[in-house]
Order: sequence, then structure tokens, then C-alpha cells
Amino acid sequence: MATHSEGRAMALRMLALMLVAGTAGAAQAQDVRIGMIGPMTGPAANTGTAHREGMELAVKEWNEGAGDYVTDQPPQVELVVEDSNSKPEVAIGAAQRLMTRNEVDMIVGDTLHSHVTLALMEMAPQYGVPILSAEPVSSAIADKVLSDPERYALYYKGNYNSDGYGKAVHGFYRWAFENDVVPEGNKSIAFVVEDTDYGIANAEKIGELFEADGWTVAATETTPTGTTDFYPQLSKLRGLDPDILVSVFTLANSGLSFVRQLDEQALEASHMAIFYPTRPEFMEQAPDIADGMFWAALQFSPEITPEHREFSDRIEAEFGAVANYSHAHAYCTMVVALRAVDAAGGTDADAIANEIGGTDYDCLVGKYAFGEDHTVRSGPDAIPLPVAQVQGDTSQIVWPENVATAEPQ
Amino acid sequence: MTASLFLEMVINGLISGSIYALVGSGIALVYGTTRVLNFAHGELLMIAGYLVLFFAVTLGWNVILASVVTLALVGGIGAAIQRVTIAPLLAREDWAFRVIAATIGLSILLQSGAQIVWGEQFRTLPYFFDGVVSLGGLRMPVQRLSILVIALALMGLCALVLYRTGLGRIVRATAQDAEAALAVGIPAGLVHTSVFAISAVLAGAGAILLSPILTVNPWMGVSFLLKGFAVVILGGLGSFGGAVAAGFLLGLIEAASVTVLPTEWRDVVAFTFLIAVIWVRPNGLFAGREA
Repeated sequence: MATHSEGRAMALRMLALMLVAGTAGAAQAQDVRIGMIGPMTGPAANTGTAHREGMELAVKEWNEGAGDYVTDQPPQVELVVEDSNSKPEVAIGAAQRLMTRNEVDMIVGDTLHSHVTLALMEMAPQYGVPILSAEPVSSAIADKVLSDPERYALYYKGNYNSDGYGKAVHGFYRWAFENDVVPEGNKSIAFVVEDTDYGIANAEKIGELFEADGWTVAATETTPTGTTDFYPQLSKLRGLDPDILVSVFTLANSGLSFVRQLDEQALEASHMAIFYPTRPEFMEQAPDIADGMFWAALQFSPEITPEHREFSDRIEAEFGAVANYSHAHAYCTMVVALRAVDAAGGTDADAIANEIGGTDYDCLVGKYAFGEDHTVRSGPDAIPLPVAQVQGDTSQIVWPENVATAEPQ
Repeated sequence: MTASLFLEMVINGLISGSIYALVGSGIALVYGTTRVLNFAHGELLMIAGYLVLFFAVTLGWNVILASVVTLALVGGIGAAIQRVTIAPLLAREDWAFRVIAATIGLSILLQSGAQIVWGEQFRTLPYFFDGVVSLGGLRMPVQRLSILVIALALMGLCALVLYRTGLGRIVRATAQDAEAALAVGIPAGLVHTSVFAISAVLAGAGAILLSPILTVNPWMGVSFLLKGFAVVILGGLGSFGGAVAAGFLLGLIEAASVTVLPTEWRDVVAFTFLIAVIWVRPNGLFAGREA
């Protein structure tokens, strides 16, 4: 009997040891769970896929010992991806699933849309989970944080504000006028932008800066996301004859149609395109229709930046895809999140949020540092926004002069 | 506003209107004959867009051949939808709501199916016609002008069939009273199927004409369906001619609105006009003018 009892006790001890070992093993394999929310389906799915690939690469490198760690014992990380379908209500449902079902310690999202982020950021105070958005730019997000810093203590914005583009576009044209690159004309500017917080905020910020210089905003035409017929707008603008025309779209197809129709309408305005030229599907056709076009911002250029080339090779090796700006930005955003979790030394939400706020980190697209509005800073010493020009088969940086790779043509 | 810009505005309005008319007249034809509102009509437009893209770009066929094959296939799909989805429901007494639910479900199914088969990328066909017509201050690509010309020709042909042929008389007889038509030997079920096929061909023609200047994607039919319904209501429910006229009218109103006001007001102006018409003439602008 004694032998039988000892045997049973031994078996229980072994079982307990196995359970402990198993738990410890699991803890080591997966210390932290991070959720990602982005447009995996819908019109912006291409960008969402790039975001997913960039973030998956960052997590993979981190887990395999190739990360840029803060501590000697970085946590292992599991990434859980959810779809926002470019819709705020879908993103809210995704966040609820991530927080309650997956019990994530942090969310990176929305990865693209400002209007989705404006809804999603509300989940941080409700569930006590830190949220870091990736590419959204709209200043309305930062304004919301400033309006109630305590409420949005756990939310951070991983991209600069709309005035970042405003300052870049305004700064470029001031320089272009002074150097006779572009004629100043009658000081009239017009906008054709997509009907989103991103498009409208950019038009407003750029317009304000030009109006302060005595310019007139001739027209601000907002079109639904995905619009590809701009003839009514372009006919109208031809009558208004602006000196500068700024277009803002997040979908490459809108941009392609706009640029093609602009060429057909033969408008004489200097054209500045925002965001869509970062999309590879736009640049594939750009040499035929967009030669000489200015655009902002060329933040990822494997053709002219060795560091970007090397990152592009890693993306291609891992996913068989050609890397673009969205890959790079998503990668950097995830690295910022991973380093914050590492530095926090655990999964405490306040500690992670504090570490995000204290970030000072050089990544592919520039230096990540957050202001009091919980937003990444833009500018030469932070995230630079160089203006580029399509010149033949490639885009060259033409402004600021200190980083220019070519003279404007 | 200069004369050339005014003319350009009118042409832009007529071009948009011709597509609304193509889509709306198809919906009106089906409703007028069968009293069915087909919420999957926009997806027929989407399928035609992908088919012509496949034939003309992927297989590199001649555009005319690709278009003819696309129209034949999409007509067949329209007929199949009627036989498989609509006809069995029409046999029931409480078919009205069931048909609406079924076509909404079909619309979602076809959109999701397109996402799975063709992916979510937005695709564009190359222009069928090159060149830009430049007259004084007016500039208009030949591709856009061709939309107006071909759409007018197609709707003219459709009207000719409807009002000047035996098939047209059969369709109109079935529309007036399906049971009476059946009693005199007209196969009403077959007529209903034919009408769905013709309606699908009209939507397909719209897609082929639009694809080079817009984009082919799984959701392309949704916005046109909304405008198509607006056109049908504006023209008078079930009136083919009314839908054509209302399509052009809606296009012109939108073009004028964009010229005078910021673009964000376009739909506000268009749908305010629609509401005003419904208020003054609840049966639409052209109701009661056709047999």
C-alpha cells in the first residue's frame, strides 16, 4: 500500500511539475499579446496587407532575437490581426473581440484611417488597454487628446498631424516661388480631396497657411472615397484657373484617374499630390501620366536610400512582396510598441502608455518622439516630409534642399 | 461661366445621365413587367465589368468581341438569376418581401464572391478610344463622348424592340396583365426571364462603357443601384422611357450642382430634387405616359 501511495504521490508530483513546466514554457513562448486592427478587406485592403506584413516582420524579428530591444529579457510577442474593413463600427467590434476574447495587452490600430481611429481611440479608456494608431494623420485626433488628456492617457498617435503635410506643401512652394521653380501667379489655390477626415484636414491646414500669405482658396472639392470620375470637378477648376492644385486620396485608383483626367483637361496649375503616390500601383503607371508632378511625402525610397533597400529585401524575402511606405511605417510603429512593452517590464497598461510617450527612437521613416498631444512629431529633426517629383521612371526628392536627390524639372 | 464650360458641364451631365439611364431603365423594365425590385441589379454591372476586363485585358481579345461575349454572358446570368432565385418565389402568394430579401442576399453573395474570385483591388480597363476633342475652350476625351453615343444607341435599340417589334408587344402585354397574357398563349414566365436578361444586358453595357474611366471592383454596383432606383422613382415606377429621361435629368442636375456648389452638395441637391418630385408628383415625372 505504501508503495502504491508513494507511486501515486510521485505521479501527482510529476503531473504538477509537467503543468508548471508547461505553463512556464507557454509564458516564455508568449508573454505579451498585441492586437492589430487595419483594413484587411475592402477598398484599402492593399494598404492593410502591407501594414500586416510590416508588423508581422517586426514581431517575427523580435521573437527570433533580431529585434532592437530595450532590456536584456524582452518578452515573446503574439500578434493577433483583426479587420476594420475601413469602417469605424467594424473596427469597434474587432477591438471588443481583441480585448475580451483574445485578452490582448495592447492594440495597434487603426493602421490607416483617421475616421476609424476617431472611434477606436474611445476604446482605450473604456477597456483600459493602450492603443497606438499607425498611419492616421488627421489633426482632429490630436485635438481630441488635447481636449481631455486624462481620458486619452492610454491612446497615442503613431503619425504626425495634418499640419505636417501643410507645412511641407507650404514650405516647398515658398521655396519654389523664391527659386522660380513654380510661378506664383494670381495666388489662387484649389483642392480636390477625398471626403474623409484625412482629406479634409489636409485641405484645411494647407489652405490656412496659404491664406496667411494672402492666397485665396478658389475651391475645395470633396469627393467620396473611391471616386474615379473627376471630370465635373476638373471642368469647374479649369474655369477657376488656380495656380496650385492639391489632390489628396488614400486610394491609388482615385489618384490614377485624377492624374490621367487632369492631363486630359490640360489644367495649367502646379499639381501637388498627397499620399497616393506612395502606393506602388500608382507609381507603376506614373511615368506615362504624371511626369513632372510634385508629391508629398517621399518617406520611403528603396531606389535612393540603402537602408530602405535593405528593408525592402527583407519584406520580399519574407512575403514575396515589393515593400512600400506602408510596410515601413507599420514596421516602425510595431517596433515602437514592442520597445514600449519591453521597457514597461510587464503588461501594465499605464506603464506601456508611459513608455510609448517617452519614445525617442530612430526608425526607417524618421525619429519617433511624441508631443503632449500624444502625436508623433514631424519636421527635419523628427519625421521628415520631403517633397518629391516624378522624373521619368522614378521619384526624386526635390525639397528640402539638404536632402534633395535631384533638381526640380 | 464661359460658353465652352457650360457646354462641357452639359456634356458631363449627359454622360453621367446616360449611365444612370442604362441602369435605371433596366430596373424599370423588370419592375414594369414583373413588379420585382431587383436589389442585385448593381452586381450584374459589376460582373460585366470583371468579364470584359478578363476577356479584353487578361485574354487580350478585341474589345468588340470581348464586349459582345460579356453581354451574352451577363444576359445569361440575368436570366439564370430570374429562373433560380426569383421565379420560384413568384409562385408564392407572399412573394413581395421574399423577393426583396432574396435579391439583397444575392447582392451580398455576389459581392463577396467577387472579392474571393477577383480580390479587392480596383482595376481599370485601358481606354477603348484614344484622343481628346478640343473645340475652343472645350476639352473632352473621345472615350467619354463614346459613352454618350453608344448608350444612346443602345437605349434607342431597346426602345425600338420594346415598341416596334412582336417581342416588345409580348413584353408590354405581360406587363399589363400577366394572367391575361398567359390565357392568350403568351408564355409569361419566359417573358419574365427575357426581361431579366435584357435588363442585365443594359447593366452590362453600362459597365463596359464605364470601366475604362471608372474602376472595376466588387462594390462598383452599389452606388449605381442607388442612383438607378432614384431614376426609376423619378421617372415613374416601371416606365422605361421615364427612367431614360430621368437618368439624363439626374445627370444634368448633378453636373450643374458640382459647377455651382462644392462637390459635397451634389447628392444633397440630387436627392432633394427627388424628394421634391415625389412630393409634387408621387408617381414620378413621367408616370402614366406609357402603356
